[in-house]
Amino acid sequence: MDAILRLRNVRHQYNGRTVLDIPELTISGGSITGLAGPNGSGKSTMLKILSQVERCSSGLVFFKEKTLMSLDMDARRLLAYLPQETYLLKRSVFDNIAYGLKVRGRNSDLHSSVRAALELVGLSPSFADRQWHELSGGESQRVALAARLALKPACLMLDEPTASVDMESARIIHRAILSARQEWGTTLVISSHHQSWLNGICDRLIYLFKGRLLDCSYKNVLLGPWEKFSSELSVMRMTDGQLFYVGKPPGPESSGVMAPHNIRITSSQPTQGYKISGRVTGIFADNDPRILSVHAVCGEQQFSITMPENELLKEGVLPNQNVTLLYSPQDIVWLS
Amino acid sequence: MEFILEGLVKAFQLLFQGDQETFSAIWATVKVSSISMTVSLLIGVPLGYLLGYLSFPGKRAIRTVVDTLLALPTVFIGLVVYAFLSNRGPLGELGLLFTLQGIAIGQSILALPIVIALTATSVESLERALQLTLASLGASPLQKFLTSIREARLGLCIAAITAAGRVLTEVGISMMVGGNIKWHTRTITTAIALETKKGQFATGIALGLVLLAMAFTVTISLSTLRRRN
Repeated sequence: MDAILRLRNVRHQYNGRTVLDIPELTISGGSITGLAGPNGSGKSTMLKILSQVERCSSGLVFFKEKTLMSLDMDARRLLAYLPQETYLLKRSVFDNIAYGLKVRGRNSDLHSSVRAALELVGLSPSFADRQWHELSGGESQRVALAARLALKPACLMLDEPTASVDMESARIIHRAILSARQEWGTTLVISSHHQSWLNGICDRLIYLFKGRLLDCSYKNVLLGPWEKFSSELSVMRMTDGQLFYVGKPPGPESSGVMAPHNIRITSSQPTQGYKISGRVTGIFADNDPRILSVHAVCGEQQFSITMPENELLKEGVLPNQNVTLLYSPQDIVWLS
Repeated sequence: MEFILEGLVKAFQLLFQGDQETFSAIWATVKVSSISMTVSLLIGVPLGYLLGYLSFPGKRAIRTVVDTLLALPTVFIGLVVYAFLSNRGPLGELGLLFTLQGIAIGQSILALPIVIALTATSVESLERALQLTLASLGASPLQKFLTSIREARLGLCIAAITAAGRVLTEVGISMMVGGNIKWHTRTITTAIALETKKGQFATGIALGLVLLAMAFTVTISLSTLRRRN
Protein backbone atom coordinates (compact mmCIF):
# COMPACT_ATOMS: atom_id res chain seq x y z
CA MET A 1 0.00 0.00 0.00
CA ASP A 2 1.27 3.52 -0.83
CA ALA A 3 1.96 6.00 1.93
CA ILE A 4 -0.90 8.46 2.38
CA LEU A 5 0.43 10.29 5.43
CA ARG A 6 4.07 10.91 6.26
CA LEU A 7 5.68 12.77 9.13
CA ARG A 8 9.26 13.98 8.77
CA ASN A 9 11.18 15.53 11.68
CA VAL A 10 7.95 16.64 13.32
CA ARG A 11 8.39 18.41 16.64
CA HIS A 12 5.70 20.13 18.60
CA GLN A 13 6.05 22.24 21.71
CA TYR A 14 3.70 23.77 24.25
CA ASN A 15 5.24 26.66 26.20
CA GLY A 16 8.74 25.52 25.26
CA ARG A 17 8.10 21.91 26.35
CA THR A 18 8.46 19.31 23.61
CA VAL A 19 5.35 17.14 23.53
CA LEU A 20 5.97 15.37 20.22
CA ASP A 21 9.19 14.43 18.47
CA ILE A 22 8.79 12.09 15.49
CA PRO A 23 11.80 11.82 13.16
CA GLU A 24 9.98 9.73 10.53
CA LEU A 25 6.65 7.95 10.32
CA THR A 26 4.69 6.66 7.36
CA ILE A 27 1.04 5.62 7.34
CA SER A 28 -0.19 3.50 4.44
CA GLY A 29 -3.36 4.30 2.53
CA GLY A 30 -6.37 2.25 3.59
CA SER A 31 -4.68 1.04 6.78
CA ILE A 32 -5.90 1.23 10.35
CA THR A 33 -3.14 2.44 12.65
CA GLY A 34 -3.49 2.37 16.40
CA LEU A 35 -1.77 4.81 18.74
CA ALA A 36 -1.09 3.48 22.21
CA GLY A 37 0.68 5.02 25.15
CA PRO A 38 0.06 6.46 28.60
CA ASN A 39 -1.60 9.84 29.27
CA GLY A 40 0.52 12.74 28.05
CA SER A 41 2.43 10.59 25.58
CA GLY A 42 1.43 12.83 22.63
CA LYS A 43 -1.32 10.74 21.04
CA SER A 44 -3.89 13.53 20.83
CA THR A 45 -1.29 16.03 19.66
CA MET A 46 -0.21 13.68 16.88
CA LEU A 47 -3.81 13.20 15.72
CA LYS A 48 -4.44 16.95 15.73
CA ILE A 49 -1.29 17.53 13.67
CA LEU A 50 -2.18 14.75 11.22
CA SER A 51 -5.64 16.23 10.69
CA GLN A 52 -4.26 19.80 10.51
CA VAL A 53 -6.39 20.99 13.37
CA GLU A 54 -3.07 22.05 14.88
CA ARG A 55 0.18 22.94 13.12
CA CYS A 56 3.42 21.38 14.31
CA SER A 57 6.13 23.71 15.66
CA SER A 58 8.63 22.35 13.14
CA GLY A 59 8.93 19.57 10.59
CA LEU A 60 6.74 18.47 7.70
CA VAL A 61 3.57 16.44 7.39
CA PHE A 62 2.75 15.08 3.94
CA PHE A 63 -0.64 14.02 2.64
CA LYS A 64 -0.27 12.14 -0.64
CA GLU A 65 3.24 13.58 -1.12
CA LYS A 66 2.07 17.18 -0.63
CA THR A 67 2.75 19.06 2.59
CA LEU A 68 -0.37 19.79 4.60
CA MET A 69 0.50 23.48 4.55
CA SER A 70 0.34 23.55 0.73
CA LEU A 71 -3.07 21.90 0.52
CA ASP A 72 -6.07 23.93 -0.60
CA MET A 73 -9.29 23.90 1.40
CA ASP A 74 -10.86 21.09 -0.66
CA ALA A 75 -7.86 18.82 -0.14
CA ARG A 76 -7.70 19.62 3.59
CA ARG A 77 -11.32 18.60 3.87
CA LEU A 78 -10.36 15.06 2.88
CA LEU A 79 -8.98 14.78 6.43
CA ALA A 80 -11.39 14.51 9.34
CA TYR A 81 -10.83 14.30 13.06
CA LEU A 82 -12.96 13.19 15.99
CA PRO A 83 -11.74 14.87 19.19
CA GLN A 84 -11.67 13.04 22.49
CA GLU A 85 -14.09 15.57 23.97
CA THR A 86 -17.23 15.10 21.93
CA TYR A 87 -19.02 18.37 21.28
CA LEU A 88 -22.37 18.50 19.55
CA LEU A 89 -23.69 21.76 18.16
CA LYS A 90 -26.82 23.04 19.90
CA ARG A 91 -28.98 21.70 17.11
CA SER A 92 -30.75 18.52 16.09
CA VAL A 93 -28.86 15.32 15.35
CA PHE A 94 -29.66 15.85 11.64
CA ASP A 95 -28.09 19.32 11.66
CA ASN A 96 -25.05 18.03 13.54
CA ILE A 97 -24.39 15.30 10.99
CA ALA A 98 -25.23 17.52 8.00
CA TYR A 99 -22.94 20.34 9.20
CA GLY A 100 -19.73 18.97 7.69
CA LEU A 101 -21.53 18.20 4.41
CA LYS A 102 -22.96 21.71 4.25
CA VAL A 103 -19.60 23.41 4.83
CA ARG A 104 -18.31 21.36 1.89
CA GLY A 105 -21.24 22.50 -0.25
CA ARG A 106 -22.54 18.92 -0.52
CA ASN A 107 -26.15 19.92 -0.06
CA SER A 108 -27.76 17.37 -2.35
CA ASP A 109 -29.06 14.18 -0.78
CA LEU A 110 -28.45 15.45 2.73
CA HIS A 111 -31.24 13.30 4.13
CA SER A 112 -29.98 10.05 2.62
CA SER A 113 -26.37 10.84 3.66
CA VAL A 114 -27.44 11.52 7.24
CA ARG A 115 -29.60 8.39 7.32
CA ALA A 116 -26.75 6.24 5.98
CA ALA A 117 -24.31 7.69 8.54
CA LEU A 118 -26.76 7.04 11.39
CA GLU A 119 -27.25 3.46 10.28
CA LEU A 120 -23.50 2.99 10.10
CA VAL A 121 -23.19 3.82 13.81
CA GLY A 122 -26.19 1.68 14.72
CA LEU A 123 -28.73 4.48 15.26
CA SER A 124 -32.17 4.48 13.67
CA PRO A 125 -33.06 7.26 11.16
CA SER A 126 -35.63 8.62 13.64
CA PHE A 127 -32.67 9.78 15.75
CA ALA A 128 -32.15 12.59 13.25
CA ASP A 129 -35.00 14.60 14.83
CA ARG A 130 -33.61 14.45 18.35
CA GLN A 131 -32.02 17.50 19.91
CA TRP A 132 -28.43 17.47 21.13
CA HIS A 133 -29.48 17.52 24.78
CA GLU A 134 -31.68 14.44 24.40
CA LEU A 135 -28.73 12.07 23.86
CA SER A 136 -26.76 9.89 26.29
CA GLY A 137 -22.95 9.99 26.36
CA GLY A 138 -22.64 6.90 24.15
CA GLU A 139 -25.24 8.21 21.67
CA SER A 140 -23.46 11.59 21.48
CA GLN A 141 -20.20 9.80 20.72
CA ARG A 142 -21.87 7.77 17.96
CA VAL A 143 -23.55 10.88 16.47
CA ALA A 144 -20.18 12.67 16.48
CA LEU A 145 -18.63 9.68 14.69
CA ALA A 146 -21.55 9.61 12.22
CA ALA A 147 -20.89 13.31 11.45
CA ARG A 148 -17.33 12.35 10.38
CA LEU A 149 -18.31 9.18 8.54
CA ALA A 150 -20.93 11.10 6.52
CA LEU A 151 -18.03 13.05 4.98
CA LYS A 152 -16.49 9.83 3.60
CA PRO A 153 -13.02 11.21 4.39
CA ALA A 154 -9.79 9.91 2.87
CA CYS A 155 -8.23 9.90 6.35
CA LEU A 156 -10.05 9.83 9.65
CA MET A 157 -8.30 10.47 12.94
CA LEU A 158 -10.16 9.21 16.01
CA ASP A 159 -9.07 10.28 19.49
CA GLU A 160 -10.20 7.79 22.14
CA PRO A 161 -13.48 6.94 20.35
CA THR A 162 -14.43 4.37 22.98
CA ALA A 163 -13.29 6.28 26.08
CA SER A 164 -16.73 6.97 27.51
CA VAL A 165 -18.95 4.39 25.89
CA ASP A 166 -20.29 1.00 26.96
CA MET A 167 -19.19 -2.28 25.42
CA GLU A 168 -22.10 -2.34 22.97
CA SER A 169 -21.25 1.14 21.67
CA ALA A 170 -17.56 0.15 21.42
CA ARG A 171 -18.58 -2.85 19.32
CA ILE A 172 -20.73 -0.66 17.02
CA ILE A 173 -17.92 1.88 16.65
CA HIS A 174 -15.57 -0.98 15.78
CA ARG A 175 -17.97 -2.15 13.05
CA ALA A 176 -18.47 1.40 11.69
CA ILE A 177 -14.70 1.92 11.43
CA LEU A 178 -14.27 -1.29 9.48
CA SER A 179 -17.16 -0.31 7.17
CA ALA A 180 -15.54 3.08 6.46
CA ARG A 181 -12.35 1.37 5.39
CA GLN A 182 -14.13 -1.27 3.37
CA GLU A 183 -16.60 1.05 1.60
CA TRP A 184 -14.51 4.17 0.92
CA GLY A 185 -10.95 2.99 1.54
CA THR A 186 -10.65 5.44 4.44
CA THR A 187 -7.30 5.43 6.22
CA LEU A 188 -7.80 5.48 9.98
CA VAL A 189 -5.51 6.51 12.80
CA ILE A 190 -7.00 5.73 16.20
CA SER A 191 -5.75 6.44 19.69
CA SER A 192 -7.10 4.45 22.60
CA HIS A 193 -6.29 3.33 26.09
CA HIS A 194 -8.16 0.10 25.39
CA GLN A 195 -5.21 -1.84 24.08
CA SER A 196 -7.19 -5.00 23.53
CA TRP A 197 -9.80 -3.04 21.51
CA LEU A 198 -6.99 -1.49 19.46
CA ASN A 199 -5.38 -4.87 18.91
CA GLY A 200 -8.66 -6.16 17.58
CA ILE A 201 -9.08 -3.46 14.95
CA CYS A 202 -5.66 -2.18 13.90
CA ASP A 203 -3.31 -3.42 11.20
CA ARG A 204 -0.46 -1.74 13.00
CA LEU A 205 0.10 -0.42 16.48
CA ILE A 206 2.40 2.51 17.28
CA TYR A 207 3.54 3.17 20.84
CA LEU A 208 4.16 6.69 21.98
CA PHE A 209 5.92 7.61 25.18
CA LYS A 210 6.66 11.19 26.19
CA GLY A 211 6.13 12.28 22.60
CA ARG A 212 8.52 9.75 21.06
CA LEU A 213 7.92 6.59 19.12
CA LEU A 214 8.69 3.54 21.15
CA ASP A 215 10.16 0.36 19.76
CA CYS A 216 7.08 -1.74 19.05
CA SER A 217 8.64 -4.74 20.76
CA TYR A 218 8.20 -2.89 24.09
CA LYS A 219 4.62 -2.74 25.21
CA ASN A 220 4.97 -2.64 28.97
CA VAL A 221 5.61 0.90 30.11
CA LEU A 222 6.34 1.15 33.84
CA LEU A 223 6.02 4.68 35.14
CA GLY A 224 7.07 4.31 38.79
CA PRO A 225 7.52 6.05 41.21
CA TRP A 226 10.28 3.78 42.50
CA GLU A 227 11.24 3.13 46.09
CA LYS A 228 14.69 1.88 47.02
CA PHE A 229 14.49 -1.74 48.21
CA SER A 230 18.17 -2.72 48.41
CA SER A 231 21.46 -1.54 46.95
CA GLU A 232 20.62 -3.47 43.77
CA LEU A 233 16.85 -3.28 43.57
CA SER A 234 14.01 -0.78 43.62
CA VAL A 235 10.28 -1.46 43.73
CA MET A 236 7.08 -0.04 42.31
CA ARG A 237 4.15 -0.36 44.68
CA MET A 238 1.07 -1.51 42.74
CA THR A 239 -2.43 -0.29 43.65
CA ASP A 240 -3.29 -3.72 45.10
CA GLY A 241 -0.21 -3.67 47.37
CA GLN A 242 2.00 -6.00 45.33
CA LEU A 243 5.62 -5.02 44.66
CA PHE A 244 7.23 -5.02 41.22
CA TYR A 245 11.02 -5.33 41.47
CA VAL A 246 13.40 -3.66 39.03
CA GLY A 247 17.12 -2.95 38.75
CA LYS A 248 18.37 0.41 40.00
CA PRO A 249 16.50 3.23 38.16
CA PRO A 250 18.23 6.48 37.11
CA GLY A 251 15.82 8.42 39.36
CA PRO A 252 12.77 7.87 41.58
CA GLU A 253 10.38 9.13 38.84
CA SER A 254 12.09 7.34 35.94
CA SER A 255 10.11 5.42 33.33
CA GLY A 256 11.05 2.05 31.99
CA VAL A 257 9.82 -0.57 29.55
CA MET A 258 9.90 -4.33 29.58
CA ALA A 259 9.65 -6.41 26.42
CA PRO A 260 6.64 -8.78 26.33
CA HIS A 261 8.85 -11.78 25.58
CA ASN A 262 10.82 -11.16 28.79
CA ILE A 263 7.77 -11.91 30.92
CA ARG A 264 6.43 -15.44 31.39
CA ILE A 265 2.95 -16.32 32.47
CA THR A 266 1.62 -19.38 34.28
CA SER A 267 -1.57 -20.51 35.93
CA SER A 268 0.42 -22.34 38.63
CA GLN A 269 1.78 -20.79 41.84
CA PRO A 270 5.61 -20.85 41.56
CA THR A 271 7.52 -20.32 44.77
CA GLN A 272 10.80 -19.21 43.22
CA GLY A 273 11.75 -16.05 41.28
CA TYR A 274 10.34 -12.57 40.94
CA LYS A 275 6.62 -12.78 40.39
CA ILE A 276 3.40 -10.83 40.47
CA SER A 277 -0.24 -11.96 40.47
CA GLY A 278 -2.82 -10.80 37.99
CA ARG A 279 -5.73 -11.72 35.76
CA VAL A 280 -5.80 -12.46 32.03
CA THR A 281 -7.91 -9.88 30.15
CA GLY A 282 -7.41 -11.26 26.65
CA ILE A 283 -5.43 -13.56 24.40
CA PHE A 284 -4.69 -12.48 20.82
CA ALA A 285 -2.88 -13.85 17.80
CA ASP A 286 0.08 -11.74 16.64
CA ASN A 287 1.40 -11.56 13.07
CA ASP A 288 3.05 -14.93 13.62
CA PRO A 289 0.12 -17.27 14.39
CA ARG A 290 2.36 -19.52 16.49
CA ILE A 291 3.03 -16.68 18.92
CA LEU A 292 0.17 -15.51 21.13
CA SER A 293 -0.12 -12.20 22.90
CA VAL A 294 -1.59 -12.32 26.39
CA HIS A 295 -2.91 -9.19 28.13
CA ALA A 296 -3.03 -9.29 31.89
CA VAL A 297 -3.83 -6.74 34.54
CA CYS A 298 -2.04 -6.61 37.91
CA GLY A 299 -3.52 -3.97 40.21
CA GLU A 300 -4.14 -1.25 37.62
CA GLN A 301 -0.97 -1.98 35.62
CA GLN A 302 -1.52 -3.60 32.24
CA PHE A 303 1.00 -6.13 30.97
CA SER A 304 1.46 -7.65 27.55
CA ILE A 305 3.20 -11.00 27.34
CA THR A 306 4.11 -12.91 24.19
CA MET A 307 4.58 -16.68 24.34
CA PRO A 308 4.53 -19.54 21.83
CA GLU A 309 1.09 -21.09 21.59
CA ASN A 310 2.26 -24.55 22.73
CA GLU A 311 3.94 -23.14 25.87
CA LEU A 312 0.87 -21.15 26.73
CA LEU A 313 -1.28 -24.26 26.43
CA LYS A 314 1.18 -26.13 28.62
CA GLU A 315 0.91 -23.40 31.30
CA GLY A 316 -2.88 -23.67 31.14
CA VAL A 317 -3.45 -19.95 30.63
CA LEU A 318 -7.04 -19.01 29.74
CA PRO A 319 -8.93 -15.70 29.48
CA ASN A 320 -10.21 -14.23 32.75
CA GLN A 321 -7.99 -16.61 34.74
CA ASN A 322 -5.90 -15.63 37.73
CA VAL A 323 -2.25 -16.07 36.77
CA THR A 324 1.30 -15.39 37.92
CA LEU A 325 3.72 -13.30 35.87
CA LEU A 326 7.42 -14.18 36.16
CA TYR A 327 10.11 -11.69 35.22
CA SER A 328 13.68 -10.64 35.85
CA PRO A 329 14.23 -7.19 37.44
CA GLN A 330 17.26 -6.65 35.21
CA ASP A 331 15.18 -6.90 31.99
CA ILE A 332 13.81 -3.39 32.40
CA VAL A 333 15.10 -0.81 29.91
CA TRP A 334 15.13 2.71 31.31
CA LEU A 335 13.78 5.47 29.11
CA SER A 336 14.53 8.41 31.37
CA MET B 1 -52.31 61.36 44.45
CA GLU B 2 -55.44 62.47 42.59
CA PHE B 3 -53.49 64.16 39.80
CA ILE B 4 -51.54 60.94 39.21
CA LEU B 5 -54.75 58.93 38.84
CA GLU B 6 -56.21 61.59 36.56
CA GLY B 7 -52.99 61.49 34.54
CA LEU B 8 -53.28 57.72 34.23
CA VAL B 9 -56.85 57.90 32.91
CA LYS B 10 -55.91 60.64 30.44
CA ALA B 11 -52.87 58.61 29.39
CA PHE B 12 -55.06 55.71 28.32
CA GLN B 13 -57.32 58.14 26.46
CA LEU B 14 -54.34 59.58 24.59
CA LEU B 15 -53.09 56.13 23.66
CA PHE B 16 -56.43 54.67 22.61
CA GLN B 17 -57.54 57.80 20.74
CA GLY B 18 -54.26 57.78 18.82
CA ASP B 19 -53.01 61.21 19.95
CA GLN B 20 -50.72 62.35 17.14
CA GLU B 21 -48.14 64.12 19.31
CA THR B 22 -47.78 61.08 21.54
CA PHE B 23 -47.45 58.70 18.63
CA SER B 24 -44.94 60.98 16.91
CA ALA B 25 -42.62 60.57 19.93
CA ILE B 26 -43.19 56.80 19.99
CA TRP B 27 -42.47 56.51 16.27
CA ALA B 28 -39.31 58.65 16.60
CA THR B 29 -38.09 56.40 19.43
CA VAL B 30 -38.77 53.18 17.52
CA LYS B 31 -37.07 54.56 14.40
CA VAL B 32 -33.96 55.93 16.09
CA SER B 33 -33.44 52.96 18.39
CA SER B 34 -33.86 50.54 15.45
CA ILE B 35 -31.13 52.35 13.51
CA SER B 36 -28.78 52.56 16.48
CA MET B 37 -29.31 48.90 17.43
CA THR B 38 -28.74 47.72 13.86
CA VAL B 39 -25.51 49.73 13.59
CA SER B 40 -24.21 48.67 17.00
CA LEU B 41 -24.96 44.98 16.34
CA LEU B 42 -23.42 45.00 12.86
CA ILE B 43 -20.20 46.54 14.21
CA GLY B 44 -20.24 45.20 17.77
CA VAL B 45 -20.89 41.49 17.16
CA PRO B 46 -17.87 40.88 14.85
CA LEU B 47 -15.63 43.02 17.09
CA GLY B 48 -16.87 41.22 20.20
CA TYR B 49 -16.29 37.85 18.54
CA LEU B 50 -12.72 38.77 17.63
CA LEU B 51 -12.10 40.11 21.13
CA GLY B 52 -13.46 36.94 22.70
CA TYR B 53 -11.97 34.46 20.24
CA LEU B 54 -8.48 35.77 19.52
CA SER B 55 -5.51 35.94 21.85
CA PHE B 56 -3.22 38.86 21.15
CA PRO B 57 -0.95 41.24 23.06
CA GLY B 58 -2.94 44.06 24.62
CA LYS B 59 -6.20 42.09 24.72
CA ARG B 60 -6.64 42.66 28.45
CA ALA B 61 -6.06 46.39 28.04
CA ILE B 62 -8.71 46.54 25.29
CA ARG B 63 -11.14 44.57 27.48
CA THR B 64 -10.55 47.05 30.31
CA VAL B 65 -11.24 50.00 27.97
CA VAL B 66 -14.42 48.37 26.62
CA ASP B 67 -15.61 47.53 30.14
CA THR B 68 -14.96 51.12 31.22
CA LEU B 69 -17.00 52.42 28.28
CA LEU B 70 -19.98 50.42 29.57
CA ALA B 71 -20.49 53.16 32.14
CA LEU B 72 -20.22 56.07 29.69
CA PRO B 73 -22.60 58.85 30.80
CA THR B 74 -25.14 59.64 28.08
CA VAL B 75 -24.69 63.40 28.53
CA PHE B 76 -20.97 62.99 27.86
CA ILE B 77 -21.69 61.07 24.63
CA GLY B 78 -24.25 63.74 23.77
CA LEU B 79 -21.66 66.45 24.35
CA VAL B 80 -19.00 64.75 22.17
CA VAL B 81 -21.44 63.94 19.34
CA TYR B 82 -22.84 67.50 19.53
CA ALA B 83 -19.29 68.89 19.26
CA PHE B 84 -18.56 66.75 16.21
CA LEU B 85 -21.89 67.44 14.43
CA SER B 86 -22.21 71.15 15.20
CA ASN B 87 -21.39 73.66 12.47
CA ARG B 88 -17.95 74.24 13.96
CA GLY B 89 -17.28 70.53 14.36
CA PRO B 90 -15.41 68.24 11.94
CA LEU B 91 -18.67 66.58 10.77
CA GLY B 92 -20.74 69.79 10.74
CA GLU B 93 -21.06 69.76 6.95
CA LEU B 94 -23.14 66.58 7.11
CA GLY B 95 -25.99 68.52 8.70
CA LEU B 96 -26.85 65.76 11.15
CA LEU B 97 -27.29 67.91 14.27
CA PHE B 98 -30.91 67.95 15.50
CA THR B 99 -31.84 64.98 13.31
CA LEU B 100 -32.83 61.41 14.19
CA GLN B 101 -29.70 60.19 12.40
CA GLY B 102 -27.60 62.36 14.74
CA ILE B 103 -29.32 60.81 17.78
CA ALA B 104 -28.77 57.34 16.23
CA ILE B 105 -25.01 58.03 16.00
CA GLY B 106 -24.90 58.93 19.69
CA GLN B 107 -27.01 55.93 20.71
CA SER B 108 -24.84 53.59 18.60
CA ILE B 109 -21.81 54.84 20.54
CA LEU B 110 -23.74 54.16 23.74
CA ALA B 111 -24.74 50.61 22.71
CA LEU B 112 -21.49 49.56 21.04
CA PRO B 113 -19.41 48.82 24.21
CA ILE B 114 -22.32 46.82 25.66
CA VAL B 115 -22.63 44.68 22.53
CA ILE B 116 -18.84 44.21 22.23
CA ALA B 117 -18.28 43.35 25.91
CA LEU B 118 -21.20 40.93 26.24
CA THR B 119 -20.48 39.27 22.87
CA ALA B 120 -16.83 38.79 23.85
CA THR B 121 -17.89 37.28 27.18
CA SER B 122 -20.34 34.85 25.57
CA VAL B 123 -17.78 33.81 22.92
CA GLU B 124 -15.15 33.30 25.64
CA SER B 125 -17.56 31.13 27.58
CA LEU B 126 -18.16 28.82 24.61
CA GLU B 127 -16.47 25.49 25.17
CA ARG B 128 -13.01 25.19 23.66
CA ALA B 129 -14.21 21.92 22.17
CA LEU B 130 -16.52 23.86 19.85
CA GLN B 131 -13.61 25.42 17.94
CA LEU B 132 -11.86 22.05 17.79
CA THR B 133 -15.05 20.44 16.48
CA LEU B 134 -15.58 23.11 13.81
CA ALA B 135 -11.96 22.82 12.68
CA SER B 136 -12.22 19.03 12.64
CA LEU B 137 -15.29 19.21 10.39
CA GLY B 138 -13.48 21.46 7.90
CA ALA B 139 -15.21 24.79 8.60
CA SER B 140 -13.61 27.87 7.03
CA PRO B 141 -12.88 30.93 9.23
CA LEU B 142 -16.14 32.58 8.12
CA GLN B 143 -18.12 29.39 8.75
CA LYS B 144 -16.48 29.13 12.20
CA PHE B 145 -17.51 32.72 12.95
CA LEU B 146 -21.11 32.22 11.86
CA THR B 147 -21.46 28.90 13.69
CA SER B 148 -19.90 30.28 16.88
CA ILE B 149 -22.29 33.23 16.76
CA ARG B 150 -25.18 30.81 16.41
CA GLU B 151 -23.89 28.69 19.31
CA ALA B 152 -23.57 31.83 21.45
CA ARG B 153 -27.03 33.06 20.40
CA LEU B 154 -28.43 33.30 23.91
CA GLY B 155 -25.49 35.44 25.05
CA LEU B 156 -25.86 37.62 21.97
CA CYS B 157 -29.57 38.09 22.59
CA ILE B 158 -28.81 39.16 26.13
CA ALA B 159 -26.24 41.62 24.75
CA ALA B 160 -28.75 43.03 22.25
CA ILE B 161 -31.54 43.29 24.82
CA THR B 162 -29.30 44.94 27.40
CA ALA B 163 -28.12 47.45 24.80
CA ALA B 164 -31.70 48.07 23.63
CA GLY B 165 -32.74 48.72 27.22
CA ARG B 166 -30.02 51.36 27.58
CA VAL B 167 -30.81 52.96 24.21
CA LEU B 168 -34.56 53.13 24.79
CA THR B 169 -34.27 54.79 28.17
CA GLU B 170 -31.49 57.32 27.58
CA VAL B 171 -32.31 61.04 27.69
CA GLY B 172 -28.95 62.85 27.48
CA ILE B 173 -28.08 62.05 23.86
CA SER B 174 -31.59 62.56 22.51
CA MET B 175 -31.89 65.88 24.29
CA MET B 176 -28.47 67.29 23.36
CA VAL B 177 -28.06 65.94 19.83
CA GLY B 178 -31.75 65.82 18.85
CA GLY B 179 -32.80 69.07 20.47
CA ASN B 180 -36.24 67.69 21.46
CA ILE B 181 -37.95 69.21 18.39
CA LYS B 182 -41.71 68.53 18.32
CA TRP B 183 -42.88 66.27 15.46
CA HIS B 184 -39.25 65.80 14.46
CA THR B 185 -36.69 64.63 17.03
CA ARG B 186 -38.84 64.37 20.15
CA THR B 187 -38.47 60.86 21.55
CA ILE B 188 -40.39 59.19 24.39
CA THR B 189 -37.83 60.04 27.05
CA THR B 190 -37.32 63.70 26.02
CA ALA B 191 -41.08 64.11 25.73
CA ILE B 192 -41.61 62.75 29.26
CA ALA B 193 -38.98 65.17 30.59
CA LEU B 194 -40.61 68.12 28.82
CA GLU B 195 -44.24 67.27 29.59
CA THR B 196 -43.48 66.68 33.26
CA LYS B 197 -41.71 70.04 33.39
CA LYS B 198 -44.85 71.62 31.86
CA GLY B 199 -47.10 69.85 34.37
CA GLN B 200 -48.69 67.70 31.60
CA PHE B 201 -48.63 64.44 33.50
CA ALA B 202 -51.08 62.64 31.22
CA THR B 203 -48.78 62.69 28.19
CA GLY B 204 -45.81 61.87 30.40
CA ILE B 205 -47.60 58.89 31.95
CA ALA B 206 -48.88 57.71 28.53
CA LEU B 207 -45.36 57.70 27.15
CA GLY B 208 -44.06 56.12 30.33
CA LEU B 209 -46.58 53.31 29.92
CA VAL B 210 -45.34 52.72 26.37
CA LEU B 211 -41.76 52.53 27.66
CA LEU B 212 -42.89 50.06 30.31
CA ALA B 213 -44.64 47.96 27.66
CA MET B 214 -41.43 47.95 25.60
CA ALA B 215 -39.38 46.89 28.63
CA PHE B 216 -41.94 44.17 29.39
CA THR B 217 -41.75 42.86 25.80
CA VAL B 218 -37.97 42.79 26.06
CA THR B 219 -38.08 40.85 29.36
CA ILE B 220 -40.62 38.35 28.02
CA SER B 221 -38.52 37.81 24.88
CA LEU B 222 -35.45 37.18 27.01
CA SER B 223 -37.11 34.66 29.29
CA THR B 224 -38.66 32.88 26.28
CA LEU B 225 -35.24 32.63 24.67
CA ARG B 226 -33.73 31.28 27.89
CA ARG B 227 -36.42 28.62 28.11
CA ARG B 228 -35.89 27.58 24.48
CA ASN B 229 -32.14 27.23 25.04
